[in-house]
Amino acid sequence: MRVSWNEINCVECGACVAQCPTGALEIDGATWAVRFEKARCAGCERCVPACSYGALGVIEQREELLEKCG
Amino acid sequence: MKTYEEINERIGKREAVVVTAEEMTDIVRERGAREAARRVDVVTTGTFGPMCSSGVFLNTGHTTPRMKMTEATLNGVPAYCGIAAVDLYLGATEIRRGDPANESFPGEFEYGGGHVIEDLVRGREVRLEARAYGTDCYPRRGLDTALRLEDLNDAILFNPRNAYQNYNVAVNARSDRPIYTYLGILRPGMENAGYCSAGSLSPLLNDPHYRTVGVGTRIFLGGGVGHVAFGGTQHDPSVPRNEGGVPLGGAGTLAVTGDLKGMSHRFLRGVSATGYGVSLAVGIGIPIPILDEEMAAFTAVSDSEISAPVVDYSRDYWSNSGEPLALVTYEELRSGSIEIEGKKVRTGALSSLAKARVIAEELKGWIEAGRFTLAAPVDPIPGAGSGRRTGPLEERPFSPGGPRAAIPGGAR
Repeated sequence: MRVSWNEINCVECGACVAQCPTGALEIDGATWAVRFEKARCAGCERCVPACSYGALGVIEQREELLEKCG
Repeated sequence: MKTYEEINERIGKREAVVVTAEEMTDIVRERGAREAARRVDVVTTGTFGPMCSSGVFLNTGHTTPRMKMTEATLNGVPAYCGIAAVDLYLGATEIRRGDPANESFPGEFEYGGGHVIEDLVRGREVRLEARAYGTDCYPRRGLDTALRLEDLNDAILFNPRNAYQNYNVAVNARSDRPIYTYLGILRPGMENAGYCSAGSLSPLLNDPHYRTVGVGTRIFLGGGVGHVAFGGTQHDPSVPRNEGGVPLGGAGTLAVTGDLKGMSHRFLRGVSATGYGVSLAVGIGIPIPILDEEMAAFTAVSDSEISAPVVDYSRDYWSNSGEPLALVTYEELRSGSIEIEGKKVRTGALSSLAKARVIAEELKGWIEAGRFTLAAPVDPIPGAGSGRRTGPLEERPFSPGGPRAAIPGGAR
């Protein structure tokens, strides 16, 4: 399982940022845009229910594989 | 001193100087309020966040044969029918029929009134199901049809309480489990704090005494043009203020209205708040005319000059008890953490400053292009001197033979 971020659904409020223990989700102090750094994500999923707009979800490994295979 | 007429004349000639509230803060800091008032005509504000007291009046057009709807759902979400035959009111926080809500806690609240409104402005087809008891003039008893926003005669967004002037910062100080609130998921031990305001960009924080924002003010609403209809529900101008007039907690509110057909899904988004419910995120921008030096000074307010109360949502909020744990500024909130009782607490916003900036910039562009003029209020909304207060409900037993003073003429 891994967390996925759908930028199109994101309204850039940052509600997820305060839930993220690893800093994978951050808000840019100048533009206030939300950034998601996959490599830093521990997959704890705390951010997923914190998002009210469906911008954060969980992808199962099988789906991830299918996604990679196109 | 400038008048609305003079400013509108300059807008018409595309000569108006329009800046955002964030830009105005810097201008006043550099040049002073008097010079800023001379140079700047309009300051634009913006806010975007969940505003639960929102909804839309819909007129579907008469069916053949005619029908007076008494029960209706849109995509399974109940709408209020207690008005004229084919008028409905769909509230943003209405949940879909059959939604398990919090039976399996925390509930997901995947779809509700706010989402239907978003679907309509996206141009998506929605399903209207309705029932009626039938009358001689409205004999039809059932309806099941698809419709889009363009099919409706009218779709009037009417939000009784929007654009809160300041608001609480929520923490979980006492519960040993995460709590699920409209200010987000609050983890135990004050691990995080939730807040919801655009701070120095927020409309009513730039006109703290409602000098220019009143009944009839033309505004940016949901990506279209709307108006202030009235002071909003729970409008409470009497809360304590700092020396700059900025309220130290939730104070003024606005009832706003506008034609949904002119709005955009970019600024109206359905909200699913885990464990809480559904809502609608609304984008609002209000132009503040810089009539004089005082208005220039008001619109120069910065995040460091706006404080909000930190409230324990695990007990004090719902029990209407206790005192705020602290007052913190929006500058502190935006830094990513605040300090409460010696503890560093991470902060997260429910409102989007990025979107609020887009709104202030879009409104600025409309005014600069001469497409949007200012409307002077036809009536003020109550200010701090009005004596108006908002308080909790004082419950008492109902007695059928009780006081009748509220009935005109004492009639029964």
